Amino acid sequence: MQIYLPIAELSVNVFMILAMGGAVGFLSGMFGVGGGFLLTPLLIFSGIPPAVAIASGANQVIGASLSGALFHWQKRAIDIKMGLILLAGGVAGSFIGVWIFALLKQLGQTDLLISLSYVVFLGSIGSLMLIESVRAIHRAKKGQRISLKKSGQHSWIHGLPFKMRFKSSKLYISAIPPVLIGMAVGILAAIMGVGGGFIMVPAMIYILRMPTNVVVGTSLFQIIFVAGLVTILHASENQTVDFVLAMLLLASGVVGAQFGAQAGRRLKAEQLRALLGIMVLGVALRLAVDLLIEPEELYSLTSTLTTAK
Amino acid sequence: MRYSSSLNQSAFRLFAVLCLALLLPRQADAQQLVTDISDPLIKVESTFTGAEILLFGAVEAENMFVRALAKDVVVVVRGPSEDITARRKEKIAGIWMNYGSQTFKDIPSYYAVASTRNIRAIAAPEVLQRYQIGFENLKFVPGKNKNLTGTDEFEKFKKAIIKIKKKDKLFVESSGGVRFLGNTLFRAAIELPAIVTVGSYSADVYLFRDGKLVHVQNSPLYITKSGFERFIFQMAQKTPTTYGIIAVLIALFCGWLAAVVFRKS
Repeated sequence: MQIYLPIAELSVNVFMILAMGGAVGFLSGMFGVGGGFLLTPLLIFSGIPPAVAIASGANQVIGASLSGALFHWQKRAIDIKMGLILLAGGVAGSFIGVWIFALLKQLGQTDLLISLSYVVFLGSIGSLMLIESVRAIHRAKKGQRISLKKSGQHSWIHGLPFKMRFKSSKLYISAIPPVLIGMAVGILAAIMGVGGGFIMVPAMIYILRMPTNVVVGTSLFQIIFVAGLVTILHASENQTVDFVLAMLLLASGVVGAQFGAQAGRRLKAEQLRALLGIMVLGVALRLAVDLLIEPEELYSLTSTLTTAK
Repeated sequence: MRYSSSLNQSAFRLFAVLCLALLLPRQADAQQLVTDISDPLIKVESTFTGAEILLFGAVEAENMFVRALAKDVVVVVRGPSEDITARRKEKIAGIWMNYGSQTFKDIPSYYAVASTRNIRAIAAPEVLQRYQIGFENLKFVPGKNKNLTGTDEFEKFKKAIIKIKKKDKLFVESSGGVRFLGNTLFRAAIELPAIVTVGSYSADVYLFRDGKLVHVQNSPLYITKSGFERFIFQMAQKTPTTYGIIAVLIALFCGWLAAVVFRKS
């Protein structure tokens, strides 16, 4: 069954879009990532114009993240205070990112920049997570009890001012690292057109050393706001939010997120990290291949209407 | 339903054209070409997967004694014009990235030619060029960067546009696409893919006799979004911020609804 998308201006298969939304929603609920880093490339591969894919994807991410976040809220697995501090940095970062994006658009190399950021960030984060979690799984098999948060461990982070207590995360750290992480993620999110969960989740685990069970909910919580901001910015600046496309993705995405959140609860933390690492690395490899192998069609066209509609 | 009704409409119009052709005064050099389009207003709704427009018409004999022989009909449908930038990827430091580019001004977003036989056999190259009939006779006017004009590079970019547009079915050439039904009546079916640009189109019907253009008839054609699709599109254009906020609120509602439904079950 085909349906016409009024903003993307093409006709797509309803079931294909529903399947994409559901699958990405499932992964989103499971790993606490918005799923934008999977959804945006998937939509572009299926022929949706990149600008529309990025904006409508962000719209879908809002619903899927809220659906997942509410699940974690019931389990009291969200650190609201940490979420708000990350968000403050994120909002500032996304405005900076939008500004950088506009600058690079003038230089005409946005496609390359997006692909390269995907490959570099997804590639390095994916491999790091995979290596770390595989080691953790090995140690768990040997019967050693390990936790990422080593008590009494003091790094440079603990020397910073503005210390705050984060009860849900059982942390007493400076507010500076979360704000900076939020900001960095916000910049990347605006450039890559994603919520930034795939960077946020590992940053919270490895840099802030938050307990994994709180990480997923907190990440989803702040993604709702970042994705909301991105959607409104894209709608007002570029008119590229396709409501029909977003609705289709949402319908299956929110359901998928619920199943995903339940499935995620059954997995061990290190297994969850290993799976997310494999997925992130997979997307990075797929995009790297596109950059390295000679494309079938060397030419590409972009057009702007010269006569009024 | 829609298909059968448009078919009936087409049949009716064909009949009307036929009547008109027969009733027209038989003066020499009087109007020699009468044409009509099956559906001059194409509505793009949620079920839109492309459309077929039927163009039909009648060619009159010059006078009672000369039958309308040795005549050729060429139908050209042009969509709203657009500026196109063609970019080429090149391998730089091991990575395939956009390197060269060329912008062209006012290229039709959609361009279809249907003819009774191969257009090269119908008229001389100069004639086809003058009326921009056929892909290679389209005027490719360079945009900002005029350095490449006349070079091999320029031709390569031009050919790339034609190739990609043909692949997307936005450039269509069909010799034999115009069929005569008897001596005077002809019909042509033109396919529009789902990705056509909305806006005003023009359908030109050229009548050639012995390689000379004897008559041109122009009919406008509109492709417009309608119903829910039109509502969404206009809202996104006219009140973009409100549109964005509503999209966010609805997304939030969907997420909340799913969470509530799943909590109960």
